[in-house]
Amino acid sequence: MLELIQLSVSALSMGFVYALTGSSIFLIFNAAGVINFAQGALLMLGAYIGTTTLNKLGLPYFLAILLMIIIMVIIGFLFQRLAYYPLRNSEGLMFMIAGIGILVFMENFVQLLWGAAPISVRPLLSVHSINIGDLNFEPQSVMIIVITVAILLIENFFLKKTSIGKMTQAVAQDKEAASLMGISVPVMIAVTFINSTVLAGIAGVLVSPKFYVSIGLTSLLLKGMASCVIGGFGSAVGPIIGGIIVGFTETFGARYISPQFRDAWAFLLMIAFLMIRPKGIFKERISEKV
Amino acid sequence: MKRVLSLFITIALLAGIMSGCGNSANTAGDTQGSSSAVISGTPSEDATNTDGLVKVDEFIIGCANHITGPTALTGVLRKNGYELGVKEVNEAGGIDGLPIKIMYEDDQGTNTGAVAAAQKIMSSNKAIVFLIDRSTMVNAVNPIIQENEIPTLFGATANSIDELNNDYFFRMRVKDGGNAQTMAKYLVESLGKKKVAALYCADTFGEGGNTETKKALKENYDMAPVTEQKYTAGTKDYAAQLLAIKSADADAIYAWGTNSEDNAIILRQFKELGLDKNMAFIGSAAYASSVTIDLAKENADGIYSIYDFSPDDTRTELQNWYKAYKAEYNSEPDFWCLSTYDQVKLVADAAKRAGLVKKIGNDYYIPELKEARAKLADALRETDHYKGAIGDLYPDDYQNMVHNMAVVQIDSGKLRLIENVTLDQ
Amino acid sequence: MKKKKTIILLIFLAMLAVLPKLITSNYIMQIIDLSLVNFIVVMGLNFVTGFAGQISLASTAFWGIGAYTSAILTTTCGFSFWAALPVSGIVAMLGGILIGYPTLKLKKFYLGIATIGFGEIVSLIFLNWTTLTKGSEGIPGLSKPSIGAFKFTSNYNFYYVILIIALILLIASVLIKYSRFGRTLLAIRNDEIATETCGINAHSSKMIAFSLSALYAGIAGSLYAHLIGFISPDLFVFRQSISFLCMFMIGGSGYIAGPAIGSFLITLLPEVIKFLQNYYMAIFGILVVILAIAMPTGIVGLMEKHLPRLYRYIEPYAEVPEKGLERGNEKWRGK
Repeated sequence: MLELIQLSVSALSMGFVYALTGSSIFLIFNAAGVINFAQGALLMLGAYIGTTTLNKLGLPYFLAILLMIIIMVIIGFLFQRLAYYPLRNSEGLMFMIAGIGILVFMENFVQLLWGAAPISVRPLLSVHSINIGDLNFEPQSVMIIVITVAILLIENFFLKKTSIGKMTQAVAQDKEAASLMGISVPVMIAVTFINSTVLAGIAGVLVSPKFYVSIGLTSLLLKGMASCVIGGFGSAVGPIIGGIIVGFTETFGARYISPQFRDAWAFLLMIAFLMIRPKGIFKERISEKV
Repeated sequence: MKRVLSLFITIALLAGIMSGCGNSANTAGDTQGSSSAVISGTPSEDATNTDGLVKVDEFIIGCANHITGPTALTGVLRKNGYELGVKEVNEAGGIDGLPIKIMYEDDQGTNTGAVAAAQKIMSSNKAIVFLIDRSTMVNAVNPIIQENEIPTLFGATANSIDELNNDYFFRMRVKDGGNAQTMAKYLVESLGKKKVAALYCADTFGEGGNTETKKALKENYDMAPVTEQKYTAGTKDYAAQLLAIKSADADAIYAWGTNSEDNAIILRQFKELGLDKNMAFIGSAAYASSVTIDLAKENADGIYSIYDFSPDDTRTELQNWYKAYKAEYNSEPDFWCLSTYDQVKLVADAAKRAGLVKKIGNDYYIPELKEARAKLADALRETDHYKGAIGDLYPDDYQNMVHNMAVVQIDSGKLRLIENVTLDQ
Repeated sequence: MKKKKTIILLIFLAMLAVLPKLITSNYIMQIIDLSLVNFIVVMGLNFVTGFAGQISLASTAFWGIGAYTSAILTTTCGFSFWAALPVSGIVAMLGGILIGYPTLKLKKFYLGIATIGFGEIVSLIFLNWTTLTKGSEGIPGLSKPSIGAFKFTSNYNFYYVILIIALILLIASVLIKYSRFGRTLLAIRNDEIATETCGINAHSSKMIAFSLSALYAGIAGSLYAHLIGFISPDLFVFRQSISFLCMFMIGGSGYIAGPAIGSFLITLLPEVIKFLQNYYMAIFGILVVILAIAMPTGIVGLMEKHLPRLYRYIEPYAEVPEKGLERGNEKWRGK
């Protein structure tokens, strides 16, 4: 019983990481109709920038994160301007390739700037372990859960309650109608990209104390995509639920079925969903034009 | 349609021609290869004793290193060790006056890359000896080494390399079998553990290490691990594996993994999930490397490891290397830096013993490539207790050169020597 | 015009035949051989992504299945290379049918993700099914083939084996593209629903295309295994599928000349910029991005637009379309 709780906390925290990654992918897919393969690279870049602002500059924690966010905003803008905008009319495949090129570039770029050694980051809580009775929890796992919930609430507020947020949603639903309403589609897409990039950066910084910062972080991309698939693109809640499901599936699959096939469980589930219910749990409301 | 048919016929004809040309292309390729064995100058311009000798400016050592790719960090550490060795050898006058130099090729951290790097080095026809690492890469380049008959030194530890029976291979670290024996022995005899659990990586190193440790436990103590938990390299969360070990009621974990981040996460979760209260943890060498300790910080304290050396070992050669490394690079050296340093120094020593370098006038001459390689290989095989920084170097039946290691414990981020172990032959 | 083209073709083939004599470095020869192997995989990708317009990121899985099948058959079961080669292709093709059947019912992005997922699973199987694949150790000692007494031992003469197989497969792909089946695939790429209303079973057509790509990849896998002489699971990772896709897109999707240009360029490029040492992989990434942005229709597509005469030389049966209907002018809508 005790073990189940510990396992669940671990699963939940992994799930939330995937949920964050998935959400950033979801945002761009909804708005621009393309899958951003560079998401993993942006996450990793955010984490690396976080190491500098946290470790090197000695700023208090929240100031350091704020600085990282500001930098990610700039990067998000540059990214969409250079990589997405020229390709916005071509087949989505080329954007995918560009994303992959960025991935390769980023992996080598961060090693050139920050060195090849993995970097550890000082966490927010310097406690060794969170003990509740006989249970030991990893502090960072708990942190991830708490902060992700907070971020998702903020995102939700942004998208549903602010006018900019609502405009990006309008563009995501129907570009033509939105532009007819006087909404500038390119600007909103830019905003979406920036939003997505910041999310990715935050995800990167969140996982840094848990995973240590290295080029291995880019592997979160695939799990993020799986979360989107399982959760569906119909609602912003989709990737979150999907992420949690992925987290639980792989953790419990690794514990009770086969530890080395850990990644396989998540993908098998994803494929099962694709077979049975391809649109995911929260179906897309958009139908295909004939 | 007609065009396609004519295309087809043409190709069939060409096929016929080419299979005839196949032979000559083969020999052409070979002779092209060996004719550039002359490094510089022509052998025919002789002074009296330069028959079969070649004039050189440097003694070239070929090396496949990880310059880019996921293992680039190890590449840097290895290079530091190599270059320290080169510096010391050259400052002491090189090989009978001839300076040595390492020709690096990037293997990108993959097996294909290693094969490509090895091919490239062989194609340059300058390297007299070859240096490489990682068990899978050694496996991959095996046919190339055999074909080129070039002595090859490496630090890879998989037992299976012995079975390749390549007598150009010279292993410069203790192989997994030896490490596993020491691990098992320490767990059972010194720590008194009865229910051990295995945690290992799903790669050659991890699997080999686990197999060897199980073997040692079974043969010497009739023990088997209560559970074996495997993980793929790059896994970010080990709660599943660690909690499985906890519920199997183990009193110790032995771990085999090379990736520092994985190791650091394991050590952290080991403490955070509360397993350290009733379990000992003994890890393979990478667990005690400075990279892992830097990441894991205080989570590494109390962990045991089978390591190549300990900085508080008073042996002269080890201390000399340790101090020189710290002076040169201002950082804590790893086992990666130790083995590579010894590799270079041993090569220089063997080359001297083989009398490879002749000075005639102001120029240096070495034998032609094939002969130089053969002589160097012989000299390496005849190494008799060369005092390397890592320990006494001499070959066993499989040309493994290193026979000692240390059991260390990590204390406040530093390695403390528990005991030095010498393997009996 | 036709006669001129045929002569140029024959000259080109003659050049290919004598190429090994001109290469002095064993290493460069191996790179060329590798480019040819990649070329075969990318040609296969042309069927499913180029002609039929479906996204497949599973090429590495089939390439790996081909390589492992060939390795296991030649080492454990005593097959000769010539027997193992077609069997590897067929096993990979069966894998393609198996994986294709459920996934090809999905659309675009979902198909891509499913193929990625399958690729990851196959990769994990290679790593962990140790009794069959020897796991992370890999399978060493894969021998080169021989005809009678003659053994293709070096990179130089194995080149001919790969070359001939590649040319045969190339001819097959030209025949397929300009056959009725090929036109069906192109129709599906343009508008699947419209094609179905014409009474064509899009799903089976897509399945055939997918299986063909698996067949090609499987054959290439076998060639690769025996070229390098050693395979291990770390080769067959998602990253490799990306490489193949890059080669494909940069060469030009749907063209016959595309795969050749793309595979040679991407395989040779890192070598060419290797002198940049630590920076070369970073620059490679940037080059890929620039190529993707500046040339979304690939190099051959660019030729079609700007160098139509050169384009007509290299692309068999090339027609220069009317103004306004060129590839690349279509607006991509929808997800």
